[in-house]
Amino acid sequence: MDDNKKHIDKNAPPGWANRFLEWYCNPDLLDEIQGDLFEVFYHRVKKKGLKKARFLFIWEVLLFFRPSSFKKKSFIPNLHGMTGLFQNYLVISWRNTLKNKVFSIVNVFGLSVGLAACFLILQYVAFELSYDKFHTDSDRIYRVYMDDLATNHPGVGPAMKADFPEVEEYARIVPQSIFAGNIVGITYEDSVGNKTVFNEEKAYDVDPSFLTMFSFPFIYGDPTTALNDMSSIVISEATAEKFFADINPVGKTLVIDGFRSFTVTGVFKNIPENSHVKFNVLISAFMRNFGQGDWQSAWNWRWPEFYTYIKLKPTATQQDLEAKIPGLVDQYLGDIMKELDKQYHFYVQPLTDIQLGSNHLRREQEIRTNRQTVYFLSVIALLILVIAWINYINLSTSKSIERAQEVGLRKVIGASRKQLIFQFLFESVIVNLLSVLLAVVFVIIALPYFSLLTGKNIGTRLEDILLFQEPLFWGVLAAIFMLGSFFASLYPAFVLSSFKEATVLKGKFYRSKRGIILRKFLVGFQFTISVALIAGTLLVFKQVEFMRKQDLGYAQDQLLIVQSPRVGDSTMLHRFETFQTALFEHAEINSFAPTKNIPGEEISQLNGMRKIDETSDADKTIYHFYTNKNFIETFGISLLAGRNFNDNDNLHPIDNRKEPIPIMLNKKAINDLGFAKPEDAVNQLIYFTLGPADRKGEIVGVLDNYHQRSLKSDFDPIIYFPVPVYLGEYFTINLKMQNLPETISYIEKEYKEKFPGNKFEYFFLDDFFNKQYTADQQFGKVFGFFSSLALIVAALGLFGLSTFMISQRTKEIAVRKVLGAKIRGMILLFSRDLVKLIIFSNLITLPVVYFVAQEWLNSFAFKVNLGWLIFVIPAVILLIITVATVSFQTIKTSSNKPIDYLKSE
Amino acid sequence: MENLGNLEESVLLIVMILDEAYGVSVAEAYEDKTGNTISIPAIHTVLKRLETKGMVKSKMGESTSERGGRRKRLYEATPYGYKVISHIKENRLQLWSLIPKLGLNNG
Repeated sequence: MDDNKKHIDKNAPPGWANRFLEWYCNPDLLDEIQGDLFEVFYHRVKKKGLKKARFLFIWEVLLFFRPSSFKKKSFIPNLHGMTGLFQNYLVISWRNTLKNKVFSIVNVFGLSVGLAACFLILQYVAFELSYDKFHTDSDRIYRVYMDDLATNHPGVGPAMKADFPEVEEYARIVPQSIFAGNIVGITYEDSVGNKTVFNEEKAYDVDPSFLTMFSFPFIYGDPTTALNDMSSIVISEATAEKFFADINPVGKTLVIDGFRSFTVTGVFKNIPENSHVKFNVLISAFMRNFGQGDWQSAWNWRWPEFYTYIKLKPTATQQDLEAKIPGLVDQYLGDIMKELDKQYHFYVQPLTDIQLGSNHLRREQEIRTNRQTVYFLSVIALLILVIAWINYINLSTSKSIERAQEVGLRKVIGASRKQLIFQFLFESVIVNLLSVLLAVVFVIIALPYFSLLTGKNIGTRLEDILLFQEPLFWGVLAAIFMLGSFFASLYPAFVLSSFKEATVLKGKFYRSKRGIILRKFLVGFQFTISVALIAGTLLVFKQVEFMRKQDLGYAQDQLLIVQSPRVGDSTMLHRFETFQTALFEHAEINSFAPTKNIPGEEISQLNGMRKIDETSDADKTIYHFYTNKNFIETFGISLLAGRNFNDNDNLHPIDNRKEPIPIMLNKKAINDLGFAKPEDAVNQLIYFTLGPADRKGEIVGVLDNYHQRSLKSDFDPIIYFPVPVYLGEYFTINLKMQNLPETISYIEKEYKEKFPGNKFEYFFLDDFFNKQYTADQQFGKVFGFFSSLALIVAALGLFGLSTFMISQRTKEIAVRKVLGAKIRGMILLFSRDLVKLIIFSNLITLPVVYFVAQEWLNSFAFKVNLGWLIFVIPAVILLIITVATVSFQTIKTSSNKPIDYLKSE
Repeated sequence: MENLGNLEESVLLIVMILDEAYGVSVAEAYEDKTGNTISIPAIHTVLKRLETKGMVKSKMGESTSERGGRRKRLYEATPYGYKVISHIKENRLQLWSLIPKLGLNNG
C-alpha cells in the first residue's frame, strides 16, 4: 500500500500488519487469507468500531503467522549463503537450552518477570496520564477552583463567560447530595404499576452545556439538547439496564426521591475509569436557579460547592486568563473579602492535570493520585529493568564456562571472533524475544490482579490495555528489546569469544581479573537497589501502620456518627431534646454530642484570634468548633485545666452581645497564643474574629490535643464554642460495643420517630478517619509488590553468580573434599566474597536511604521512628538469600564424586 | 469412517448450508448460528483440515472491492462429506433412542 493511499483511507487496516502479512504469506494463499481478513475487517468496522476492528486485524495476522501459511522458500533473507550457518546457530542454541533446562528457564523467566514488572508499571503510568484525554477538546477545557477547594462559587462560570472574551463556554456540576441526601432514590413505575427502585450515589445536577463541552458518547438521545428542559434526566448505560433491561428508555419517566418526576432524554455510555468525574445520573434542575442572568447577586458568591469548568477559544491561552483573574475576584468577592478580612484566590487548572495535580485540594470528586507517586513508580520500573539486565548478563556469562569447549572447537575449525560474537548475539536475540513475548503474556495475566492492587480498573481486557495501543510503547518495547539483545549481551559475547582455543581445549579456563571485578560491581549494584527497595517498602508500611495505630487522643473505636437531620420545622429543638433524652436512657449508650465537624476532615471554618492586649497584626489562625458540654465526655478528651462548659454557657453568633463569651481552647491553641502552661491560660481573655466582628472571649477550660486530621498534618489549633441546643452536622454517639446491632436499630427507631422525612445514615468514626490513608496504603501495596518482584529477580541473579563462582571452582572443591574439608567450611569460604559485597553495598546505600527516608517522612507531621530494623532487615534478607544459594550450589557440587572433576586434567 | 471434531462437524454443516462458503461467510454463519465467536485463522485451519480429509473441495472464486481485490476460496462439500455427516447423524439418533429416561420424561 503506498503512503498516499494510507493517508486518504483512514478506515483501512493497519498498514504495517498488512505489509507483514504480505511479507510472510505464501502467494498462493494470499488471495484467500488477505481477502478474508479485509472483508471481515470492514464488517467489523461497522459492527464493533474502527479501533476494535484494527486490533482484531493485527491479532489475526499474527495468528496466521505459522508455517502452513509461510512462503515455500524461507523468507529469511539469504545472507550471502549464510542460511546454513543460521540453522546451525539455531540448532546449537536449542540444544544448549535443553541441555540445562533449569538454567534456561531461570534466565528467560528472570528477564521476563523484570520486563513484565516494568510493563505493568508503564501501564499504570500510562493509565494515570490518560485521564480525561478522551474528550475532543480536552486541551481547551480548564477547571476553575478556589484556594484549597476543588469547587467554586456558582457565579464564577457565568461571570467568566460574560467578562472574558477568551471563554467560549462554561459548565458547572454539583452533586445531588448538596440539595438532597448523599444517596438519591430513583423509582420507575411501568405501565402496569410495577415499581423498580434503585439508590444512586453518583447523581449530579449540571448545566446543559456540560454535555456539549465534554464528549461523553451517547447511545440514545442527543447530547446537545438532552438537558435543555429542567425535567429531563440522562442516565448511564448501566443505570438504563437496571431499570429498562435493553429497551430504549427515552421518553420514560423516572421519579427521584419519591416526588420529582423526570423524563429520560438520553442514555450515555458508561463513564470510563479514566474520567476524573464519574456519574450515572445527570439532571439540570437546580442548576438553573444559579447564575442565569443574576450571577452578580451576592448569593451566587457565597456557596463554593460547584465544580466549575470553562472552555477557552482555540486561540486563547491559560496565561491570558490567569492575568485577568485577580480583577474578577476583586470585582465579585471584594466586599465579602473585606467583611471577613480574608483573601480568596481562583486558579485555572487544565482538565488533563486534574487527576495528577489536585492532591492539595479538598472536596475532590474522588481520590486523586499524587504526581510524585507516578514519577516514583517510573523510577522503580527502570530499576527493575536494570536488575533484570544485570541478571541476564551474569547468567549468560556464567553459562559461558560450559560452552568454552564449543568455542574452542569453533575457533580451531576456523571461526573468526566476529562470527562468534555474532553467534552469541543471535542467541541473545532469541532469548530476549522469548522473554519479551513471555513478559507480554505475564502482563495480560497479571493486569486484573494488579487492578485490585491499585484499587482501580486500569484495564483488564486485551483491547483495554492502553499501553498496547500507544505507538510510543511499541517504540519503547523495541528499544528495550534492542538494548537487552545487544547491549546486555555484548559482554557475555565478548567473554565467550575471547577464550583461547588451545587453553580451553586442554580444559583450562581463562579467568580475567577484570571480568570478576565487573561482575562483582554489577552484583553489588543489584544489592544496592534491592537494599533501597526493601528498606523503602518497610518504611512506607511502618509509617502507614504507625498512623493507623496511633492513639488519636479520643475514643476512636466506639464512636458512631449519625448525620444530623436536614429536613425539619420550628419544633426541631424540642424534638432534638427528646431524641437526646431517649439516647441517654439506653443502657449501651454512654454519651452523645452534636458537633459541626468530626475528626477525619478539616474543620470548615477558621479565622483569627489574639491575646486581649495585642493588636490584630498578632492574629493567629484558629479553627472554629461548635459543640456542647457533652463533647468532652463523648469523645473522651481530657480537660487539662479549668472547667467544662455548663448549661449557662451560650454563644449565639448574632443576638448574644453578652461578653466575654465562655470558650475552650485546645493545647495547641494556647501554645500558639503564647501561654506556657494550660493553667496560665484559664480565665484569661482573648479576642477572636467571628463573622464580621472581633468578639471577646474568656478561656474557661483547656483541652488536650487530639488528631483532627490525619497524622500527615499537625494538631490544629481549635476554639470550642458552646451551643447548648445546637443540631450540628453530625451526631456523635459513644456506645458500648456489646449488642451493637440492637443499639443501632434503637437509635434508628428513635431518629426516624423524632425526625421524620430524614434519612438515617451512620458510620463509624475510625472508618471515616482511616479513609484519609487509602492513597498511602495503596502506594505501600504497589511499592511492596514491585520491591518483591525486584528482589525475586535479584535473587535469580545471585543464583546465576553463585553458579558461576562454584563452577569455576569445581576442581578446588574436589581437591578440598579429598583433603577432608567439611561442607560447612566450604560454604563459609565461598560466601565470604558475597557477604563482603552485601556489607559494602549496605554501607553505600543506607546513608542514602536514611536521607531519602527523612525527606519522605518530613511530609508527615507525625512520623514513625526510623529505628534500626529498617536498616538491618534488608541486609539480613540478602544474607539469607546469598547463603542459601551458595550452600545449594556448594552442596550440589560436592555431593558428586571428586574423581569426576579431577580426572580431566 | 473418519472421526470429526465438534468444530469440524459444525463447519462442515455450515459449508453445506451456505450457497457461497468461504472463510468470512463460514465464520459469520458460525457466530450467527452458535453464538460463539471464532477467528478467521481458526476457520481457515478447519476448512483446510476438512479438505485434507476429503470432505470438502475448493476452487477460487471472483474478487470484490471489499476484499482489497482479492479472490475468495469457495468450499463445497464432497459426496464423501455428505456420507460422513449422515453417518454421524444416524449414530447420534441411535444413541438418542437408547436414552430410557428421555422417553419417560417426554411421555
